[in-house]
Amino acid sequence: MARRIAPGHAGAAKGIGFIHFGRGELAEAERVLSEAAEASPADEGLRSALAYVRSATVTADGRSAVVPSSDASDAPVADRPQVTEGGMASDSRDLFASVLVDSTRTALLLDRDGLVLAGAYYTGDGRDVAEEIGAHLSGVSDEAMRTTRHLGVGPWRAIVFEAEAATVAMAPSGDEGLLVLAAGGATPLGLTRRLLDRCAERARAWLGDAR
Amino acid sequence: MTVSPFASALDCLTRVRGVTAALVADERDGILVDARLHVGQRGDRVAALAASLYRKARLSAGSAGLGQVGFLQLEAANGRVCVVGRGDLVVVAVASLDANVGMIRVELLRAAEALA
Repeated sequence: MARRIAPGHAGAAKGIGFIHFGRGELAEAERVLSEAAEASPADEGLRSALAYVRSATVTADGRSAVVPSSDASDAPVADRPQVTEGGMASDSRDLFASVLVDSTRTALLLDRDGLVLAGAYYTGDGRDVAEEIGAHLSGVSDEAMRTTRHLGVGPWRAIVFEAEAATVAMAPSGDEGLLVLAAGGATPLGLTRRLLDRCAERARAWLGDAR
Repeated sequence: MTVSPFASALDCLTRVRGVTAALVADERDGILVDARLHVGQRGDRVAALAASLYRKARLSAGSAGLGQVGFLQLEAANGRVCVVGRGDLVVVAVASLDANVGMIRVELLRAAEALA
């Protein structure tokens, strides 16, 4: 209906394209998005969506590189991660997307200087403030290290704290780096802790690949 | 002998399985206010470190726009430190790894309410 009323509407095309994609109708999804992209060549979101659908086309050995899941419809197509054949996001900002699932959760991997290696932190208006958040929160890990050293309870493994806007979990990562996870206030503490472990696994694998 | 206003809350905390120390400290300077400690534990040191950690988390969360901090847990290889702040004070529990964190959190939040 939406496309009949406004055939060149980019948002409608993205939505319908993703419905086709969710049903496994990749050719149809690609056709809808290609038509819309031709009509609106400047629409970066459409190009991104089209690239995503194309990345899901059949690989050389006949298997799909991306498996659409039910949760994928929660976010716009343009926000879906690009995924390589190994299951790892090709854009480092999307490294944790498939682990976090929910758009209210975000994770960052920081190096020893507090600089962002992977992940993103988007504000409500779409700005990526990962560098700022990383800089502010990385100091907590130094304090944690000091605390555990003085208390003699061994190396620190995780910090979790509940703030008004989010539950934040942190864990040390390879090469003195830091993994920071922020989950919306509705995410239970236990789930946040489990997600942290899963993100840490993802980060370890990614750092291993990146070497 | 004067009983501290925090005695009841600290006693409840120390009854939680796995808790080895419970204390109240000033968040700004880490000075110990009251404590229930096992023999050999350094309350002043725990108070200073836990208060400093909580303060750092509170300031960082504030700078990052995340708002006020409630419960905080530091997990280490051989134990954990749990903290809840209220006003200028923090309530701290030091516990073993096998302690029931959910129960500690409930008791800490209850103790923090008592501080208000």
